[in-house]
Amino acid sequence: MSWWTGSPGASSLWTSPRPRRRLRSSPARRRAGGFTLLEVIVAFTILSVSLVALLQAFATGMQGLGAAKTSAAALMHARSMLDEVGQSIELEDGESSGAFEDGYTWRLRIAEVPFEAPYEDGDQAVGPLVIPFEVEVEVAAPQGRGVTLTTLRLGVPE
Amino acid sequence: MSAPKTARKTSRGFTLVELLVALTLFGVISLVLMGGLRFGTRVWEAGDARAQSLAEVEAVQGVVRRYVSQAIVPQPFGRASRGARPFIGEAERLRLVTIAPPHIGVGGLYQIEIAMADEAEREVPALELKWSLYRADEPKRIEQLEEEDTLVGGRRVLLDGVKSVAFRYYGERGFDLGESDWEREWLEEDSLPTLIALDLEFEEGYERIWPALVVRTRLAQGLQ
Repeated sequence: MSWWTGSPGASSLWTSPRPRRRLRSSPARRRAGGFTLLEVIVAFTILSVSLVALLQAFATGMQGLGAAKTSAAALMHARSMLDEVGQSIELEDGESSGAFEDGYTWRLRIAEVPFEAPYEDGDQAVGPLVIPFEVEVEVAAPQGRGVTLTTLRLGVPE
Repeated sequence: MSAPKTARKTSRGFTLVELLVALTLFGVISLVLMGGLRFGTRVWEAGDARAQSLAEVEAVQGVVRRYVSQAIVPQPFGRASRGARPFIGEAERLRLVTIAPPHIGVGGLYQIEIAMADEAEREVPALELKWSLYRADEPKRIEQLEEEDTLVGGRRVLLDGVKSVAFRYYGERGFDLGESDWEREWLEEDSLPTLIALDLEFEEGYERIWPALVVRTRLAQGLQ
C-alpha cells in the first residue's frame, strides 16, 4: 500500500471494495479533498483571460469615447468655419488649409458650381444674378480622425 | 508506519507550505482582480466625466449658436424703448434680442445676455445666460430680472469653471461700408455684426475643450 491510498476507513466511503479499483480511483479522491495545483492554475488562467477581456472592453470603450470626442470637437470647428465662409473668409474658387490653435487642422475647398441661367433681356443675354459655390470644410484631429461638411453658398457675380 | 501517518495528515488539513502557497495565490489573484477593477472604475469615471464635459460644451455651443443666429434688431417703438439698447456687443458681454424657442417661457422675442456670472454670488466663476421677454413698447430690462421668474425671464449657468470670456464681432460698420474686420466691440445701434465669435478659457482643473465658436447672424443683412 502506497502512502496516498489513505486510511481504510476514509476510502470505504467512496471507493469500491476491490483493491485494484481503489488504486485507480485515487485521483478522484484527491479531487474531493481540495483543488489540485493544476486546477488552481487553470482557474487562475481563466480569471486572467476574462480580466484581460474585460479590460480590453474598457479600453475599446475609452477609444470609442475618445474618437467621439475628437469628432465632436472637429464638428464644432467645422460648423464655425462654415459660418465664416462668405464673410471673413472670401467666397472664391480655391483651396486653402491651416491649423487651429488646439492642433486641429482644416482644409477648405470652394468651387464654383457650373450654373447656366442666362436671362433673355431683349437681345442681350444677362448672366445669373447669383452664383452657387460648393463649400467643403474638412477638419481633422491631430490623431487623424476628422469630419467633412459640405454646403452650397450663394455669391454675387462681380 | 510512517506512510499512513503522513496520509492521515494530508486528509485532515493543509500543511503549512500548502497554506502558504494557497494564501499567496489567493493574495496574488485578489490583488490583480482588485487592481483591475479599480483601474476599470477609474477609467470609467474619467471617461464619463470627459463625455459629460464634452456634452455640456456641445450643448452650450448649440444654445449660443441658436440664439445668436436668430438675432434681430428690433425697431424702436415709443418712448419707453428709448435707451433700452437692444444690442450690446462688448468684449465680455453680449446682449441681443432674439427669437427664442418656446421652451423658455412663452416663446417669441426675448432679450438675452451672455456674460460671466456675478462673482459675488458664485464660488466658481461661470458663464451665465440671462433672458427676459422682450416687448418693444415696454422693454423689461435684464437688470430688473427677478430670480425665479421663469415665464418672462430667468438666468442659468451655462458652463462653470470659465476663466475668461471674449466676444469678437465682424461686420460692416455704418461709417465705413465695405471695410470689415474682427473687432473687440460692436457699438452700432441699428445694425448687427454678421459674425459673432465667442472664445472661452477655463480654470485649471476643468479639462474642457472649447473650439472657437463663430456664428453668423442670419438676419443681420436682411434688416440693414
